[in-house]
Amino acid sequence: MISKAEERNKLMYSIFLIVMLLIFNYANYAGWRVFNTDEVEHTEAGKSHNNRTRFYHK
Amino acid sequence: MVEIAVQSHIIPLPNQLTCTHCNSKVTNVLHRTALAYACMHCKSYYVGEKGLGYKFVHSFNEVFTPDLPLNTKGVLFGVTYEIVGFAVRSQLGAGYAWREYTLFNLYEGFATLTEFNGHWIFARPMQNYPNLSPSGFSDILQYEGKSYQKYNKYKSTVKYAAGEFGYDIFSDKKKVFVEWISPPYMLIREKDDDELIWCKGVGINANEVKDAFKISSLPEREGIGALQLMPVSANVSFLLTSTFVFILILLVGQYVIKSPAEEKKIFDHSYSKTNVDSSGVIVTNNFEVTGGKTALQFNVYAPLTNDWFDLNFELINEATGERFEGAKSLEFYSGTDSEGAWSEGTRQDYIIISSVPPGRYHLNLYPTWNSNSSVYVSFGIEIIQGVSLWANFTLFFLLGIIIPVIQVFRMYAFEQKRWLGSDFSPKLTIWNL
Repeated sequence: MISKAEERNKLMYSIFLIVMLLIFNYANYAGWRVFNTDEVEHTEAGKSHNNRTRFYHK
Repeated sequence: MVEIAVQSHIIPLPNQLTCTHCNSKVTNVLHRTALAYACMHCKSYYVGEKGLGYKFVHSFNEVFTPDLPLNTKGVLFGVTYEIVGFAVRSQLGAGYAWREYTLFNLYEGFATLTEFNGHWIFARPMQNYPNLSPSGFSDILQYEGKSYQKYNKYKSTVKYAAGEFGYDIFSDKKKVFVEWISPPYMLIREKDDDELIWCKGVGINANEVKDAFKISSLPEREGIGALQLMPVSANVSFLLTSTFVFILILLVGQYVIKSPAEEKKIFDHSYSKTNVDSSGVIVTNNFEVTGGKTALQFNVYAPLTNDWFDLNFELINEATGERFEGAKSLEFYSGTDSEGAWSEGTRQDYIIISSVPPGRYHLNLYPTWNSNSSVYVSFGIEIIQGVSLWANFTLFFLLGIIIPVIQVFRMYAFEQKRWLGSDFSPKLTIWNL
C-alpha cells in the first residue's frame, strides 16, 4: 500500500516531466515563446476589424 | 514498546481467570500461554506460577480505558487477531506514556499494537536478527536492504494493565529497549541479562485500525509519528535524478530541436520623422519569413540623448491578413553631477513575436517622439527569424525544479518534526532525507 503510493507519485512526476519536455520541444520547433509578454496582440485573419481604422494596410 | 514471545510455562488453567479480589472473570483466550493477567475492574495483577496457579502480585494505582476493547477481534495484515491484553507504559525518567494492545492468533502467536499520540505501530517478533556491532549500539543498522537509524533507547515501566499476557509484564523493567527506524518500519531490540528479543514494527494508519476492529473513533493524531510517512512523498534520490535528466534533455532540446526557419536577418531599415505620413504611420517594404513557424526578434534602436522614443508596430501577413502587434519604449538620459557622470535607460532593446507562420509580411510602424525632438531624429529596426528562445528554457527549467525544491523543503521540515521526539536525531541534510 505504502510503496504503491510512492510508486504512483513517481509515475505522476515522471509523466509531468515528460509532458513538459514534449511542450518545450514543440515550442522550440514551432518558434513559440510560451510566456510572451512582448506580444501586445495577435489577431488572426478576418477575426477582428475593430482597430482597422487605426492601422494602415497596403 | 514491547513484543512478547510465547512462553512455555505449564500452569493449570481454567477457562476463565477469576480475580480473587473482586470475583470478576477474565476470559482465558491464551489458555496455557497466559502467564499473567490483570483484572480490569479492581486493578489487580496476577502472575502464574508453575503448578500453583495465579498469585496476586500488584495493584495498579490508576485505571486507563482502552480505545480498543479487550476480546475484540480484527484482521490485520490478513491475520485475525483477538485483543487479549492492554497495558499503559511509560518511559522511565520521562513523563509520556503509550498504550500497548497484545494481540493473539492461535496459529500466528502474539503481536503488539502500540498507540502514542494517535500514531499506531504493529509489531511482531523477528525470526532473523540484524547483525549488530559488538557494542550492540550502532546508530545505523542495515537490514533487508534498508538502512535503519537509531531513534530511541529507554527502559519502561507499567502504569496499568488489563487482560491476559504471555509473560509477566513487570519482568520488562530491567530490559533496555533500543529502536531503529526506517519509516514506515522499525526494529526494536529488547535485552536484559536473560533474554534478547528483536521485533519488527510497521506504522499503520488509524483508519486501518478502525477498519480492522470496527471501531468508530480513535485518538486524534498529534505531531509527526516516528514511523509516519509524509503525504505525497517521493524518494529524494529519484526526484534529484529525474530532475537532472530532465534538465539535461532540456539543454539538448534547446540546441538540437529548432524551428525549420533558418536563423537570419530578414529586415533592417532606419527611419526618421520625415518618413511618417499624415496619419502618423510608416509602412515598410515587405519581407519574407521563410522555413516554418518561427519566433521573430525585433531589434529597435534610437540614438537618443536625454530623450525618449515609443514604437508601436503591427506585423501583417500580406496573404492572410493575420497580424501581430508589438510595442517598445526606449529612453536614454545622461549627465554629470557631484559624483561624476551618470546615465540611465537604453538606446536599443528587442522584443520577440513568436509563432509567426512563413509568408510575406510588412510592418506598420507607429513611432512617437518627444514633441521637442528634431525632425531628423531617427530610429532603426531589424528583424531576425529563427532565434533561439532561451525564455522557454528558463521557464521550463524553473517549472522542472520547483517540485523537487518544494518537496525537499517539505521533507526537511517533516523529518525535523519526526526527530523532535528522539535523542538520536541525525544531522539532517538533503542527502540523508
